[in-house]
Amino acid sequence: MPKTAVVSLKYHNRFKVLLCYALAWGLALLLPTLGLRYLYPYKLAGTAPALSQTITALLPEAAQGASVPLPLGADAQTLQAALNTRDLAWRYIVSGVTALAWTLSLVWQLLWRVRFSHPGQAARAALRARRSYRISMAGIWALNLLAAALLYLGGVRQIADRGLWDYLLYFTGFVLNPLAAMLCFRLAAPPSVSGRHAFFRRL
Amino acid sequence: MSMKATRFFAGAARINATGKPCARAAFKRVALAAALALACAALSSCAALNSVLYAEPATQTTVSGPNLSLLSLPAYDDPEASAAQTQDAGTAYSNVDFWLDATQNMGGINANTDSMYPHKGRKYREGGFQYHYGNTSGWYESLLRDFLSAAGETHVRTLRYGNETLSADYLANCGLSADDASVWRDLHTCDVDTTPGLFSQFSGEDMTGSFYALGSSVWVNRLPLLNASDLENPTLSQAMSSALDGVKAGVAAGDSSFVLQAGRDGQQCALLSALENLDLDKLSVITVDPASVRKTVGADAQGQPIEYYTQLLAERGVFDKGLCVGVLDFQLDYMGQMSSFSTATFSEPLIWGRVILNEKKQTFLELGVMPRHMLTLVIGTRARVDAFIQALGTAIDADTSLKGQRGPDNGELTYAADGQTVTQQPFGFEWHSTVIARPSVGYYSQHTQGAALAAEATESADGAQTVTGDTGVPLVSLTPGSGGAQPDRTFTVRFPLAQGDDGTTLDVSTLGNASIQAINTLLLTKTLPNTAQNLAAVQSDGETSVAYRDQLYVFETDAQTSAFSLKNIALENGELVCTLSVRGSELKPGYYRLRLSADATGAQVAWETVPWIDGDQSVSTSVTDAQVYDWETFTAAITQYDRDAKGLPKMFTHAWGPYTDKLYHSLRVPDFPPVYKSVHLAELATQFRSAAASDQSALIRYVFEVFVAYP
Repeated sequence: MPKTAVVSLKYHNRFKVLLCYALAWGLALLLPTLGLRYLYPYKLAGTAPALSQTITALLPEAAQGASVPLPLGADAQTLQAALNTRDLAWRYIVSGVTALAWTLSLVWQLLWRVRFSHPGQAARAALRARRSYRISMAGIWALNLLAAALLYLGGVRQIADRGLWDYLLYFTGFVLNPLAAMLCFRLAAPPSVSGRHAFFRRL
Repeated sequence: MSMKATRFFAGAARINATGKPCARAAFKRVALAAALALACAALSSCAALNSVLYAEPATQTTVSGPNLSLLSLPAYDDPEASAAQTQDAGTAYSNVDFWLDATQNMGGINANTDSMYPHKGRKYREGGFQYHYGNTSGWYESLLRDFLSAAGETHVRTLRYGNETLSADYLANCGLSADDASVWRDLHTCDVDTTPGLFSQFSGEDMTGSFYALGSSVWVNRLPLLNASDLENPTLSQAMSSALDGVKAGVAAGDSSFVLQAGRDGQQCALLSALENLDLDKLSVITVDPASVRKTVGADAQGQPIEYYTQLLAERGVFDKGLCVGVLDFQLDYMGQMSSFSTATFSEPLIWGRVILNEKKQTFLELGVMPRHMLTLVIGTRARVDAFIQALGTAIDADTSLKGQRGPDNGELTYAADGQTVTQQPFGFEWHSTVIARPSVGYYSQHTQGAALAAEATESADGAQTVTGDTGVPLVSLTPGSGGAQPDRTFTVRFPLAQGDDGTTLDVSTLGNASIQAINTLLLTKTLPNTAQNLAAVQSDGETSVAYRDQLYVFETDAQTSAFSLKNIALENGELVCTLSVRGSELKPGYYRLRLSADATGAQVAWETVPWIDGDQSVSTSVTDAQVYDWETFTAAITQYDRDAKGLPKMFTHAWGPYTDKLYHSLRVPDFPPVYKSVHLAELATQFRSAAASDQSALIRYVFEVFVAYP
């Protein structure tokens, strides 16, 4: 009677996979967040474009004040508050679009991983996984490109004097998301389709 | 969950050959569903994006630099809006005061106690404007009835004003106030709710108790015949009646304190007294014999010239209250005596008009009335004055008694004028009218219909756009030129010229207080690094700032500016055109709120010529002191040499007869005083106009804002 192969769980490997996910996707989320939170007020303050009423209506109540006209002759404090609200609303929009792209990209990547965690035909699984990986990466790039386009058309294009800081803050997330996905695809693939020297490296 | 979905996900529960769920098949279905959802989401996103970008109004494109559109000047109170509103036309009905001139010239009364001429006979009465001859009476009586008709359905109070006067001391002794105009009016009231029958009495009465007799025993005190409640001061009725009885007695006794004296400059006359006591809440219709108007100008203690009627109307605030003065001139028929003419007082009265006799048969041939002018002032709101004059015109047109011609048919009556003999020909009733109101030179503001502001660069293509700003005033947005600098510009403000009906034109060549002022500004004055420290410092100073990228732009409110200057104000093609020059180099980014202002005074008002007042058909005449001297000297000579009527040369029996170069006791016979014209009419009209236009009034108050974009 053939000896049944015992699959031993390697918690060490799972930790490294988790770490890889956390680092990759965390950085993809953290960098845009830090940029909007700390860099924006000093490098891009006051550049928020006027938002359409439809977009403004989607914002939290605190940021909807951006659409309300300032009272005539508003004092310095009121003006400052209005400017802050306006900037806040814009950052809500950028954060929202970036977070959506991040979430969809992560979900897509996780679905791929789940799909190949327990392949039915292990011998052909690696080939199918590579083919699926390429399709998924294209999809994720497309997804982020679409989100970036939405952001650009919805507001960034109205910003005058756009420079390196603008593009860096608004579009970094959409570049980091596919890169994070790519990293996770290649380094944190399921054991069934990964190997030490295989296309999908096993950590 | 629907049946299809249940079936769909049920597939995921299928068991494969090894007894494990077929994960691959399930994953395929989930992936397919996700792909479909993604596709739907993408399509929805595209649709939503399309709706956001194109279905809604285009969101404004942020311009380069700090977003100055977030800034704004303080709200503008806009006083021009209320000032531009049309003043109340004063269409409300009001009662009417008829002020009837009761000076002796009106009634053909010879003020001298001993006269060489009869006043009346059985068939005729030489009652001046209110003569009668058989059943014929003067046009004046018909005109008074037409006045009453023009007054409409209102209560008409008739006041008699003449040469009697009541001094302040006398009134005080009678327990009356001399400063109370209502008391003065009550004292002079001779009828309330006047009917046409009142005027007929004047023509039919005796000369001694005539309406026009000085201290008339019948007409000076009418209070006992009136209901005290109809007076303005019912409780003073008894005291006033006693005072008037004292006037009658005083005049009869020859007490000159009850007779109006000429005053320091010879200006005092019945008209001036009446104007001082008008009730400005009513429509006042004042008949005036111009021959009874004395001097109109004089000088104060310092020698400064005084225009008495200008001064009086200004003090009473007639035009300030929005009232106007209608000036009406009537050519009427006259038969009577005149013992004064303007400032001239004659020893022997002038004879102007008489009954023509057949001296052989000693019978009356015809009525030799002569033309004389009577003025009427109508003082009230513009609407009421216009309505009265219009109604009067209608009444006159319908009045058959004013038709036809009167006067000597065969050249029986002559007089000397301009060194020539004038033979009087039959004449007809004529009248003219004009209204003198505060000149509506116009009020031009940003609310004026058709006002336009245009900005033009002096050299390069301009980047200026004029819109109506949030504050409701015109806003000019100036964008910099290609080099980032603002070019010099010219602003032009055009107003369609207001078309007034007050007979005035505007002379803008010498406008007073024309200027351009900055009301509010909010200008970029300094730029700091966008750091938390700088932001805190700016906020603690209460300064307005806009953070933009890594810079903090600080704005100063109400900063001084010299970028704008008024170049010219002119009239062009029916438009009032104001030209401003703008120095681009002195403009700062931000907002300017500017007011273009100019005031107009009487100096800017050119009154159009009224043909019958100061034009080529003028009926006005003036009297010089030299003429007065000649007339008085000549009439004194008549008194001296020909007191006895029998000895009076025939040529002097009427209007001093025709022109003669023969001397009369070494005196040249002067031209007859021009009683056939309206004495002082032009002077009075000029003074009324001066009073109407004397105040400084706002002509232009144009407020606009300028936005200078960040370069």
